[in-house]
Order: sequence, then structure tokens, then C-alpha cells
Amino acid sequence: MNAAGMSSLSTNTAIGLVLRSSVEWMNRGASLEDEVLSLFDLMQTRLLRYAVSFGITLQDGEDIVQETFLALFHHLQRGRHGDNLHGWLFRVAHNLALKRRMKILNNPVGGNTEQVEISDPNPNPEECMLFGERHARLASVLQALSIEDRSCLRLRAEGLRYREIAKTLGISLGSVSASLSRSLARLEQADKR
Amino acid sequence: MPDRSQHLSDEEILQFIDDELPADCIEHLREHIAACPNCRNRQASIEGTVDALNELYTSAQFELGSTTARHRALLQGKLAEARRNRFFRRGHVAGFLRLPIAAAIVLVFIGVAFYGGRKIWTDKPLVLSPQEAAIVPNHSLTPGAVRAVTLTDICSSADDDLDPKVPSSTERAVFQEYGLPSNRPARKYQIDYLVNPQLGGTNDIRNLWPEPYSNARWNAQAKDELERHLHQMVCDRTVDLAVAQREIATDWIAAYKKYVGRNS
Repeated sequence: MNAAGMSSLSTNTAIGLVLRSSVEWMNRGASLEDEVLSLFDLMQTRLLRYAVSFGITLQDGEDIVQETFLALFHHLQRGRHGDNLHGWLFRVAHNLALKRRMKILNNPVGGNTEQVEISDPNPNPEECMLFGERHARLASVLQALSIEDRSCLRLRAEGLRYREIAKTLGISLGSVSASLSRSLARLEQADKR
Repeated sequence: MPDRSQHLSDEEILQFIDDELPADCIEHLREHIAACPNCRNRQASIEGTVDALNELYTSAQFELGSTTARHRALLQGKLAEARRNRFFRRGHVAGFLRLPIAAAIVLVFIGVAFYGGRKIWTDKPLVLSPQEAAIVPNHSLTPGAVRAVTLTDICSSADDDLDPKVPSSTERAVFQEYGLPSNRPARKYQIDYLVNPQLGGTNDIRNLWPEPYSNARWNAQAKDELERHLHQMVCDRTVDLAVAQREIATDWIAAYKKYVGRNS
């Protein structure tokens, strides 16, 4: 085979590889989309509930959920591990919600600070009167907890293991356990009054 | 290992409830709680608080039903866009393939530029129309014409005239009926027999056509090769003369592939 033939062959081989790689890549991308959308169906409400527990608006919470799943798509596209995606999703949503909250608090234009407090989904004592005195007492204790303690309780209620909570919040396993125990003791105390 | 003679801490009881204890501790705690009314009460109280908290959380649900589908569609659009952007921005070809592919493309480009440039310089006037470049005759103009011959006639003679010596008036007439300018340089094509005389063809204009040299494979030289080959086969009686005449007149390229191609 002459040089031109070799060149043609290598070009055809290269083009074939590119096309095959493209098709495989597109197929892989499409299947990743399906995977991400399935997880969205499963986790959307839980993540939104967690995001707005930071005292941001529902609209901001919805944005965060969208950003979280977009980040998941990129994460999977890069071939990262798909193990424990639930914990991963909460971790990303947690960081995004914290950033959003800090941004609102640092730029209190148009009364955003007030909006943060108003939109806190933990029912305020007045709202909780509707659900009974017990809920109102628990809600007032929750309002007084630190964000970290509140997050530990929320994530535990969402079914995350302590290890996942620790990873999400960037604290130790022992801190998670201590935080939960401390917060529940305060809630229990308020519940008995 | 904690001292089990004392009561369990709230933290231990919560870890027990949440199944967060190491496997080797669980059995000890279960035994302790079963035997200790105080710790059993603490467990019940903590579980009651956890239940109340979960009830509080579930009471603060959102009205999401109407917006879920919209948010799902929104996300779907963003994912599709992200896939497209990544495809074009970062490429999808594995890193180790990028250099060979780039090199191959450059080589092809250089080859095309070099070959194309040389062709233009050396062969500048050669721009044939599709009609001019036709490699098979128009059968309505050139159906072929043969004379009555025998095998003895065509096989005993040493006639090797494959290219007709036609008068210039006949040549012009052939060009004219094919719509070609008669002042074309002769090297672009030759006036050729459709059925060559060695197979009984005549120099009637119905057996003459302008055959281009330009085609890389199906040119006048290839047809000459077929004519010699068929003549030999006819004389060897491996192909019937009438069959040879008909096949070369109908589609000489198919005949070439049939008789010469298999031997080449």
C-alpha cells in the first residue's frame, strides 16, 4: 500500500473512531439524562424541603434543586462514582443553599433579609398553633437551633446515615451524633413543658 | 466498650434507634435496654420526640404537584443543552486519538492541495462536461454495426487495428452528433469503434463514438484491452462471436468486468 493509501486508511479509521465515539458519547449522554431525571422524580421534593429549610424562598429553593441535578449530570458525565448519590445530592444542595442564604444576607436589598426569615419553612409559633400547641413548642425550639443542628435533624429525617450527614455538613461523625442527641434533648424538654 | 453497669447515654440510645452502632455493640445495648426499665423509658421518650419532629416536618409540605412537571421539563432542557455544549466545547474524542486525527487531517489537506494544484497547472483546459466525459456511448447514436464475418475471417487475419483511421469529416460528424466542439484537442478522446473490426465491427458512424481518455480506468486503453481479449476468446471458441458482439455493444464496461476483470 502506498503512502496515500496509508493516509487514506488512517483517516478513514480515525473518522470511524470519531463517529463511533460520538455515537457512543451521545447515547451515554442520553442514558445519563434518563438516570438524572429518574433521580429528580425521586428526590425533588426532599431536596426542595431541605433547601428551603435554610430560610430561602421557594423560588430560590427550586433554582437550587435545578442546579443540583445539573451538577449531578456533570458529575456523572465525568465518570465519577454513582455510589450514594442521595448523600451527594444533599451535599450539593446544602452548599448551594448556604451560598444562597449568605448572598441574601450580605445583600439585603429590597428587604431580602426579611424574606429569609419569613420564608423559613419551619412553621413559626403562630402558624403552628394551627397544628397544636405541641408543634408550636417544637417549632420554636427548632427556630432557636443553629443551622448545623437543624441540618443534622433534617438530613436524619430525610433518611441519611450519620456518615452521609457528616460528609454533607463537613463535620465529624461524632459531631453529628452529639448534635442530634443535643437537639432532640432540647426538643424533648420543650415538649414536656 | 462503654460500661454497661451504668445507664446508657441519650446519644447511645439514639444511635441504637438509628442503627448506627457497630455490630458488636448492638447486642450488648439490646440486652441492657431489655433489662433496664430506665433506659427503656428513655428510648421510648426519644422515639416520641423523633416522631413528633417528623410529624412537624411532614405538616410543612409544599404545594408542588402543579409545578413538578414544569420543573422536570425545565431540567430536561438544561440537561440536553449541557450535553450538547460539552460535546462541542470539550470534544468527545479520547485524548490519545486527538493527535493522530489532527495529523491525518493535515496530511489529507496537504495531499489534496498538492494534487489539486498540480492538476490545475498541468491540465488547465481540461474541464469536460458530463456529456463529454461519458464513458459509455449513447446507444441511440451508436448502437453498433457489424458485417457478416466468419471465425476464419476474423481469426486468420493479423489485423490489429483497434483504433479507426477515420476521415476528419466523419470525426467532425461524430463530435457533432454528440454535441462536442470539433476543435477539441485530439488527446482528450479518440474516435473509437464500439464493436471493433476484429469482432466484425464496421467503420459506419453508427459504430463510432468519441471515447474520453480522461477517465482513470474506463478509458480507451481499457477498451482496447477488452477488444484484444474478446478477440482471443472468440478465436479460442470460449466465447461465441455473436455473444461477444452483443455484449461489447450493449455495455463494454460490464463485458470488461466479465471477461477481463476476472483475469486481471
